[in-house]
Formats: sequence, C-alpha cells, structure tokens
Amino acid sequence: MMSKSNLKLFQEQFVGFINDDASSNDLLKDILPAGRIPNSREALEVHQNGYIARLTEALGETFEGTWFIMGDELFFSICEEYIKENKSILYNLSDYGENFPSFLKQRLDMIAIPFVQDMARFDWMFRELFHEKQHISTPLNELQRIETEPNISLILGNAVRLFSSQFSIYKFWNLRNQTDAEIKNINYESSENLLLYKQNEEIFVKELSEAQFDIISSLMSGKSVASVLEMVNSENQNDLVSVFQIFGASGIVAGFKC
Amino acid sequence: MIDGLQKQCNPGVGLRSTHFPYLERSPDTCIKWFEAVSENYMDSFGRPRLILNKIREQYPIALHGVSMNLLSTHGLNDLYLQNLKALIDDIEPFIVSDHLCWTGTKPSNIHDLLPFPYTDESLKIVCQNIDHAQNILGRNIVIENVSTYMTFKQSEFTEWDFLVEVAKRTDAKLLLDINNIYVSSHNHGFDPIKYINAIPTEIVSQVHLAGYTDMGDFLFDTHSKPVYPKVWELFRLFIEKAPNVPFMMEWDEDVPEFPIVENEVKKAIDIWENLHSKKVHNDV
Repeated sequence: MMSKSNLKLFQEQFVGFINDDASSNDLLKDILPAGRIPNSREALEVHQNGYIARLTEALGETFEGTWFIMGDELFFSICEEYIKENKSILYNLSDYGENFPSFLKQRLDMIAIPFVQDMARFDWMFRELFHEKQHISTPLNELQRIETEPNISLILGNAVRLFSSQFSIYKFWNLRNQTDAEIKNINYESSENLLLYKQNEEIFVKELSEAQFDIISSLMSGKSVASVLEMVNSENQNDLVSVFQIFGASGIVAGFKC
Repeated sequence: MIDGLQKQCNPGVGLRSTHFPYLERSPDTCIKWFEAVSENYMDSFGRPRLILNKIREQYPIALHGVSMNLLSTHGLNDLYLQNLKALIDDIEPFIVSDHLCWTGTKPSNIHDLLPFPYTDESLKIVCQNIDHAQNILGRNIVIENVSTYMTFKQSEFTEWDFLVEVAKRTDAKLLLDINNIYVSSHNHGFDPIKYINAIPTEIVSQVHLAGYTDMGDFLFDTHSKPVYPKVWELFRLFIEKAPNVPFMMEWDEDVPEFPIVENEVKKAIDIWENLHSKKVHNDV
C-alpha cells in the first residue's frame, strides 16, 4: 500500500517527466501503459506532448499578431523553447505567456524581426483589454469640471491602455489574417502611439500623435489638469484640444480625483 | 402516479466561443441548457462573460471546471475557489462540476486531467479536497470520470468502485462521461457495461457524450468527432435506467458549426425518445 508521501512523490516524479524529461525508475515501473502503447515512457509522453501542445495553443491564441509575423515554423519552435524554460504556474491557461515578449527580445538574433517584441507586447495588451470589464464613463456634462476646476486629476477607466512603439505594430497586427503579399507593402519603420479602449463593450484602437500620447500619459499618471496645461505651448495647443475631444468621444474618463 | 409521466428529456451542449455569433441570434434549438467551462469565464469580464450572462437569461447553465485539481496533495487553490464562487454567485448554475484527477503539483500546472493510482491514500486526499471545495462553494459538486492512458500497479480499487466510494463519502454526485468510460475500457481492457452497471443511477447528476480519436495504439479523448456507435450503445444502456439525468455533447477540437453539434444532441434525443416516449404513451 502507498504511504501518504507516495502520492505526492508520484505526482512530483510525473511532473518532473513532463516538465524536465526526468524519468524516475520508480515511476516507470509502476505504470501499466494503455492499449498497445509499448512502454511506460511512451504512456507518459502522451501527457508530455499534450502539455507542449496545449501551452503552444494558448500562446498562439494570445499572441496572434506575433504568430502571424513569425510564421508557423519559427513561432512553434520558439514556443517550445519558451514552454521548456517557463513552467505554467497559474490555473488559467489563458494567463500563460506574460513574459513571452521579453523572451522574444532575448531571441532577437534568431528571430530577426526587429519589432517582434513590440508586437508581442501589443498582443498581450490587447488580451488584457479583451478580458477587462467595461468601465462606466463620466458623462459629457461632468467633463466640463475640467474647465472650472483645473486642479483636479482625471481617473481613466480600467478598460484603457496606452501603447507606443517605434514600429508600425498596429498596421501589421490588423493584417494578421491576410496574406504575405499584403504585409510586404507596409513600412514597419514608422513609429506608432496608440490608445486602446473599450466603449460599449467593444475594443477600439486609436492612433495618437506623440503630443497627444504624452498628454494622456501625464493625465493617466495622476497629474492634475493644471499641471498638464503647463506643458502646453503654441506647438501642441491643438493636440490638447483634440485630447479633450477624444475624452468626449471615447468615454475613457471614469472619474475625477480632487 | 404514473411513473412514465415523470420522465423528462434534458439535452444540453457545451458552450464554445466559436458558436457565440450564432447563439447571439437566439436560434430555435432543441437544446435545453448549456455547459460552460468555468475557467473561460472566471477571470474574464469581457465578451465571453457578457455572452454567458446573455445566454443565462434564456437557459440554465452548468459550470464545468478543468482546474480544481481534486487530487492535489497540497490542498486546493483558494484563489481558484474564490473566483469560482464569484462566478457561481453570478451565474447561478444548476450544476458545478470538475474532474476526478490532478492537474499539477505546486507550483507547476500541467493543464491536463492526469491519472493516479486508485488507493486508500488517493481516496482520502480526494475526499478531503472535495469536502473543502464544497464548504467554500457552499454546495455539492459533481465529479467526472476521465479518460486515461495508463493505470498503476498500486491501484487497490477499480475506477468505478473508487468513484462510487468518493460519492458515498462526500455526497458529491457523478458526471458520467460515457465516452471516457468507453475510451478507458478500450485502453485498459475492462468491460464498459460492468462499469455502467456498477454506478447507482441516483448518484449521477449529468452525462457527457463526445467523440474520441483512434491513435492506433490507443484511443484518445479529443472531443473532436461525432459520438461513436459503441458510445451510443452505452448511452442507451445508461439513459434507459436514468431518463431524467441531463445529458450533453462536448466538442472542443475542430469544432464544427453549431447545427452539426446540435445534430449529435438530436441523435441522443432520438435514443431517449425511443426508450421513453413510447413507454410514456403506453402508460397513459
């Protein structure tokens, strides 16, 4: 009969095989393989192969744009490497891959796509926003407090993200279901500043100018409207006006902090 | 009271995101309820959760988990249980189920329904964990048998005796996956009819149907095909004895359009009606 520690030991040996290919004779000798599976090791491989396949599928679902620009062969081989180095520790499979973008950066020599990390960052951000609850937007008439109370700070909704890259990430991402021919026409070397947000439960991505991006970043970091107004000069005055127009149209403001 | 009049056919289907656009149009369907995979909705407050809430307005929902890790030797993950409880409070499902298996050891999660030896030690651990889950969730849970690709020399119970003993000790009910019974019986050379006959019908709350893949050396539970004839035979055997038990079709890989999945459910309804509707008429 197994002692209490035996089930724990059995599970550790089983996981050791799946994660690190560490085969324990104690484990192997106790296994009776199913059907015509020739031996215990191959029976364990059913689960080992399944683990790689499931995590690769999860990465593929999250990092759609990254998969698109890398192509199947490269993406799958990088995924396998990543999975071997990064064990899944969370119960929800769709949460797997948070540090995949930085892993891609480490493999940049091999991948040879200069914007691969930024594409993966965008994929991850889009996934976060997808699962985010729709915030309640501050009504338009209340936004007028900005004019009368410049010392207040704005609270942007939880379903709002800012993304910036020196590459044309969103243009590529938008083509992720298209053919290679179409992406060849895109110049990836132009920078992008993006506002991602949810409105009426739908996700929108809006391109921003650099100045608009800086203004929204400052407001997002909790700076008061007055201190942001101090950043304004004759060159970016129009950007400020347009940012407040964006607030009105997108519903990204969810409250005020005095 | 006429016994036959109490019989009710309760067909359901697994809710899959590929069918959301179709289901949003509120089509006519023979489906009476949906089963949603708990983890797909527990931590998401986006579109999947909205659709689930919308479907819940029209249909009863069963929540079916894959990550409770009931054979965990480290106890259950309290964050998981809290998040599941919040989903349960929101959705008010008529069934909350998970699998008789383990899914990893701290800190690794393998995201698989892993096999284990059917021993006294395993029985004690799974019963402790089920008791804990039921206490936190404030309700009884339902436990599903899984397909396996290995057995263990140390096992002291048959799978069916183990399941029945778990139910007896914890008051948990069973989700009988007929496809899994067939797959495991083929893989390990036992009689699936003996398995089904060993399960008292009163402890079964739900039935699963699905299709497997023949890998040559063994059968693999892929949920990627229609139900096979031998699985239908086993379903007929069980549903004849337990007409009121809700049954449903799972399809998770290469998911076809909803009407094709629904067609499998219609086959199950036909079997049910052939067994019970005629009898009801005769009784009346």
